[in-house]
Amino acid sequence: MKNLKLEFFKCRRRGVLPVCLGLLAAQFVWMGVFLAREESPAPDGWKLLLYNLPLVDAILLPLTAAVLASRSGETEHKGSALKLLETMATPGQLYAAKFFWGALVLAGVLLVRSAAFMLLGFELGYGQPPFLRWAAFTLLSWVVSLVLYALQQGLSLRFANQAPALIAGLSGSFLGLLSLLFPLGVQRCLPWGYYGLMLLVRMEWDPVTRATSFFWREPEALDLGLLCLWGGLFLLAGRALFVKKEV
Amino acid sequence: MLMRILRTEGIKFRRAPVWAAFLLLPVLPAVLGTGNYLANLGVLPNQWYSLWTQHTLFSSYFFLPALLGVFCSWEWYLEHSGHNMHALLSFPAPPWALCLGKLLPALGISFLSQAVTGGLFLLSGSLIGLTDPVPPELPEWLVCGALGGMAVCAVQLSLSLLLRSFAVPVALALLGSIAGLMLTAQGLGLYFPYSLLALGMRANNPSMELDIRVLVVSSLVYTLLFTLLSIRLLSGRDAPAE
Repeated sequence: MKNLKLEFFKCRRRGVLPVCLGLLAAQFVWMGVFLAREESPAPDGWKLLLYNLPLVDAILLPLTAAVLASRSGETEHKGSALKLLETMATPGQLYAAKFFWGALVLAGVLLVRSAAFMLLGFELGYGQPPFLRWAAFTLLSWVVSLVLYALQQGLSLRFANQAPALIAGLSGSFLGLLSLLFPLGVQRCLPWGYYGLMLLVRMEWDPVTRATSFFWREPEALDLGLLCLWGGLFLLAGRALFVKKEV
Repeated sequence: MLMRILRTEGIKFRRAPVWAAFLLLPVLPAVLGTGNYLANLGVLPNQWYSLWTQHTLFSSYFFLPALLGVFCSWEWYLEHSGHNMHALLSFPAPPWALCLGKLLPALGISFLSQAVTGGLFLLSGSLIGLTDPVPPELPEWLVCGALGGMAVCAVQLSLSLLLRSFAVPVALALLGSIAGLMLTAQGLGLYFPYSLLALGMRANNPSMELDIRVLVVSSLVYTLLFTLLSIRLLSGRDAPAE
């Protein structure tokens, strides 16, 4: 608990809040422009929002996770703080504190994001928000982002040079987006593709009438299991690399 | 003077694998783009031109500008690490030469990434057996893309120098690219630095009529403006004790 509190102190004035606000602003502007163009499909409004928001997530959240992990990891490398820190706490405890810090920051951002979009949808006349679906969506985006954060934290702490971590985050953003165009088998092999696999809405396009319909769906149990597997793998590998690292 | 600084920068790059990202990572859009092209042959009838749209789909909008941002971040990260900024500022060289010493390698990387993109495009087209002749406009697309990339590098170098952070300028590059996409949709892309790369490459629209003079002038103006800003920032800088 003390270690976790220290992580928040360490990240003061390190641009974490502007990064989070930037993410929220980008999502809000992007989706705002997109929704403003739609012909207010009131009954399907929430489905339209929950179908498109994960696609924006797939572009923005992998890099956001990379930036947050990098800000947290870089502070130790720049200050050559790890040698001193590891005389006071075990590397495992430090790793856990940093992970929980990232989990809390991501949870905060995604909760604010969901609240803001529910408000936006309500203002656009979509009616009463489907609160349970929004809760599930927030939870699922958080879990996928956390899995990616685990990967990024491993890289950011392992390498003092933040380039590999940022390049991995960027490639993830790119692969996550493109994986949405590929078959399920390919998506499952890419941890960044899980924003698409966790979609709560599916779309059907009728080529004859050229009409688009949205339906609620639930993520497959296999995908949820695989996501947990990816998370466990990244956490264990990242922790092992950090714990064994000579500081 | 400048040559000596460039040689010094070259020594800093030795055994640093950052440039390798620009050789290896364009493989991702090439492979995925070719796969997408083969999966959608019915709606993509224009052979090389259609393949080009798939190769540049998203990569030139989001991926390449931010990747150039990583390189620029890394260039200043070297100086922001330890006490290197003290050494840099006490180096008997004017700030303009130090800033050009950062910009010119970034420009080289911008051209390298375009050359690799072009090479992979030709390789993919040959491997999947495209029979039409290669588009004669390809060199123009690549050179214009690299010039757009130069403007992105100038902006990113200023941001990295100012913010002294590795990751935040890269995030700003992604945000800038998204803003660039929106401005391009409004027809204002030629006046925004992050849109120039994708516009220069004619991403997603190889038949686009583009006033190349405006693109070149816009790229040069942004490069000049932000390089002057970097010089100003470096001239008034005290090396932080980190």
